[in-house]
Amino acid sequence: MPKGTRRAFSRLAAATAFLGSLAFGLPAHAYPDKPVTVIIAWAAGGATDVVTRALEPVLAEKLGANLVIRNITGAAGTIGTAEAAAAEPDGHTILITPAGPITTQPHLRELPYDLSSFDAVGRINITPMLMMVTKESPYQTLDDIIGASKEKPGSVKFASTGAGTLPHISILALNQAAGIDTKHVPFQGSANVMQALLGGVVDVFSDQAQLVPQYELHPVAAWADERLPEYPDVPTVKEGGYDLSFANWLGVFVPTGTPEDVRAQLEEALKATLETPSIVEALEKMKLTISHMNGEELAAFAKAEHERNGKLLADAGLKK
Amino acid sequence: MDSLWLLLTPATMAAILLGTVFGVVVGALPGLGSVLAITIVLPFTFTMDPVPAIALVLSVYCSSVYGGSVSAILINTPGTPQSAATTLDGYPMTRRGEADLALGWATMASLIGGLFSTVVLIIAAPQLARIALRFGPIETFALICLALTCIAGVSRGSMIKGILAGLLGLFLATVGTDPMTGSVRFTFDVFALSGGLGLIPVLVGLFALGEVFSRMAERHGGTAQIEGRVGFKLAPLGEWLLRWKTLLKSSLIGTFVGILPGTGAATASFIAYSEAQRSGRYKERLGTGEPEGIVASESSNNAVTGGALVPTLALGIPGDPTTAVLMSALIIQGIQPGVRLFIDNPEIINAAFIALIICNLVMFVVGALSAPLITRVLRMPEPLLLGMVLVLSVVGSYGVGGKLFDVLVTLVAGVAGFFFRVCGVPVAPIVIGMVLGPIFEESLRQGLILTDNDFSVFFSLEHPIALGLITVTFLILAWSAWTEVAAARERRAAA
Amino acid sequence: MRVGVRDTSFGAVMLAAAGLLWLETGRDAYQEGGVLGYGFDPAFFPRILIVLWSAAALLLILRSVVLWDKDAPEPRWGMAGLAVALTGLYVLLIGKIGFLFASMAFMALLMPLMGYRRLPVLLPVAVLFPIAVWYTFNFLLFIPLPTSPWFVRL
Repeated sequence: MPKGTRRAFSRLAAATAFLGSLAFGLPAHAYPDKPVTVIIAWAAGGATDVVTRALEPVLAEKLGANLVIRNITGAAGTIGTAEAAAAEPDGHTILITPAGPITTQPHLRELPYDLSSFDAVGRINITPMLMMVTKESPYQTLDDIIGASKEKPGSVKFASTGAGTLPHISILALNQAAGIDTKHVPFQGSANVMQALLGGVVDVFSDQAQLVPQYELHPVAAWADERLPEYPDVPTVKEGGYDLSFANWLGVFVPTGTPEDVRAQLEEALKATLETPSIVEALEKMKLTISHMNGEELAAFAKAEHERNGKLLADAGLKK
Repeated sequence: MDSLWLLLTPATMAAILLGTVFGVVVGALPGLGSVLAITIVLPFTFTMDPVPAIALVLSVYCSSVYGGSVSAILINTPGTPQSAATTLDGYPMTRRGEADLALGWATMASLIGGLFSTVVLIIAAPQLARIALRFGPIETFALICLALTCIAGVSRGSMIKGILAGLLGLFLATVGTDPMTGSVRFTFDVFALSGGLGLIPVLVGLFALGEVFSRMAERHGGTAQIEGRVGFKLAPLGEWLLRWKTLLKSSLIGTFVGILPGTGAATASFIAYSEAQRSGRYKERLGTGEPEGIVASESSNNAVTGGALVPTLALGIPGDPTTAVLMSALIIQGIQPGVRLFIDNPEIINAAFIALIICNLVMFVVGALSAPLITRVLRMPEPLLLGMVLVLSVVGSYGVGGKLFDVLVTLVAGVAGFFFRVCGVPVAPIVIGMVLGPIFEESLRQGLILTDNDFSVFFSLEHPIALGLITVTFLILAWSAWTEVAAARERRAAA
Repeated sequence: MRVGVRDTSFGAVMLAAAGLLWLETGRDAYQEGGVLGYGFDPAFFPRILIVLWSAAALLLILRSVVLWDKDAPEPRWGMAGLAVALTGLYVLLIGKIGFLFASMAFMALLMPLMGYRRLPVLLPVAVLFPIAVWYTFNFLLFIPLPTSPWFVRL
């Protein structure tokens, strides 16, 4: 608590000092010359928001500017993302987002933005997805699932967190690659899926690995190219004969057209933040492993994801 | 007992006190609710020790649910959706000049409801959590059907209009992205609508703006000052004993609804309220400023706090957005809610339980001490008060989603709320519809996927819980139709 | 105002709205459920609601005939219109000149409109209350409010 109180007070003090220094809009000097707005397209308290709020104090210090977090929610993250895309490209508005709003949603429906509306600054982390069932489930291996689906199409019930989300796309991809027919039941959020999975309403779910120990589930397979270090005994989907990999990640983006030097400054600040021990520890507590990529790498990575997801959705007849 | 020592530190006590004051204030501000309140304190918990962090979050949770009742009673604007049912009797009491008494009822009822559910949580969390797992989409659908019958309850005397309003609420909830297919509905090419109509902006518009507009348009000058007592007054014990059945029933309803997935405190308070209308001692006075209505609504919505923590702590499955944020606060502390929590971290769990009891007690004290101050707003000239309410409503509906579009929604809902008042249409059913709409549609369509579009399975012995709930639903509907007809006949006979 | 007139027009408006919304559900975008392979299309649930809604509106119109001659209180329409217009202007102004200035102007105009003209109370309230709200949101609740084009944070 003492640390917390001190922090609360220092925030209050900073806020008050800031109030004192309110100035008329000055002509543009060196970046950053005013608070930097971080747009989160998800509700406060959600996964993206929590990570951002953990990064905030250090990132602010490294950048040398106050950060203002704005949660602009709605429509699977597209409303906030659209707001970020429309912002002035001067580095004073940045977007921290998971893959969905920029690599899948633009394929699903008409949006005022696309992946090309953003320049990449850097990736924060990446977490490969696991396919999971309950310990009592009759389907303990990938072969069980595929065998049962071939025998009686639609008998295996897969859950997702909504149309066009990664868990859903992974189902589409497996259906297509294995030539099977599974039943897909969409839910709102992974907590609701866990409820249904533990209650025996659905059979299989693919999402972030940390759900497995949390709910004492049985990991069936990893959606990764190589076995996960935390789950050395869990085979990959690739070993099962299907070259499919899916992962959740968080990236930092700015609107296209942001000046080169501003972007470089942001990249530097992000990199330094992710190397700070307190941040590493904080994210570890959330079971997130930092896996930094610079802007250039993330741009290429996001583009590849965007294309792959577009193709999967098009093959499933879901593309707009 | 070790847990008690973990709690009795100055840091923890300070966290509870500050959290409670903060929670009451945020809960009372129209628009800002429990989710936002917990989120705001979340960053502070990052650097705190686990026990004070948990105490802080829990105190904010309980007190923000209570805080909503303050504005519901004083200015007819529920601070949170959970307290929408409190306006029905709380505000009429204020208009009679009994605001101090109304706050007393609400605060005491909140305390009892909160403590009741905490005791249930402590005694039987792991066992009760298993009930939650038996609620699949089909059971949830049946539960929502039962919950929807409270529309009939809160619109007594204008049943058709109430049902129409409830249907409108259900419909408004479908605007935006379809939860199942991801395609957008009823947006008429307005991009901002693809996120749907927020419950909070609509609620604030219907209640706060609608109320201000219609007061300004009242014939007799509109500046009728309420001459009421300020302060805080508890009703004598005898008065409480007369209403003990409603108090107990509402606490049970709140706890039970809290345990079940998909619904929350708003649903619980409406169900408890309509149950009080069906079976309360003063049922015919409900809606005219009868304390029993406040007791039903406030004890049940605070009872949800303990109930909602059952699946959150014992299974790691939060039943609503509020407990979801609460759970992320625990995860940040390195505490993983779930089946193992009770075995691996008993001292943390016990500390949390004791903290919850203390939080409820502190909530009562803070409520009682702040009431004399807060009720002073009633002494303010009405134009001043209404001006402030408008500004707070606008900023509150903006604050939740950070979008100016939400303020526009509030304005439109305010105009609609004004017309509904003119036409004698109750607005509470709209809120019920909007609260239950998304989960109603989702559970129905999920159920239909699971049963291969065979609706009859919903009512079969394959799903005994669902069958039971649907049967109760029909009985209640038949009962309310019968009383409505009987009342109409009586009115005609009297006329 | 007669209850009958009031209820009939309310019912008619609701009925008309239901009709228009039904037409909207006929568009192609509402029939795309099939791609999921299972379940109903997006129009399925809203259409059920619209049907029930129309039935309730019809019932209301029918019943209003019975109660035709009862009197209902009539609001001061002009005053209500003025209040709505002023609030609308306020919302518009928030987007243009930020929360703080818009709120000050709004309160200073609204309170006299409601018949409160004691300037020594009115003006300080109109200035100080928005400042208090603005400070609370920006610096205590960490929710940034819309700003004016002239200043960084207000």
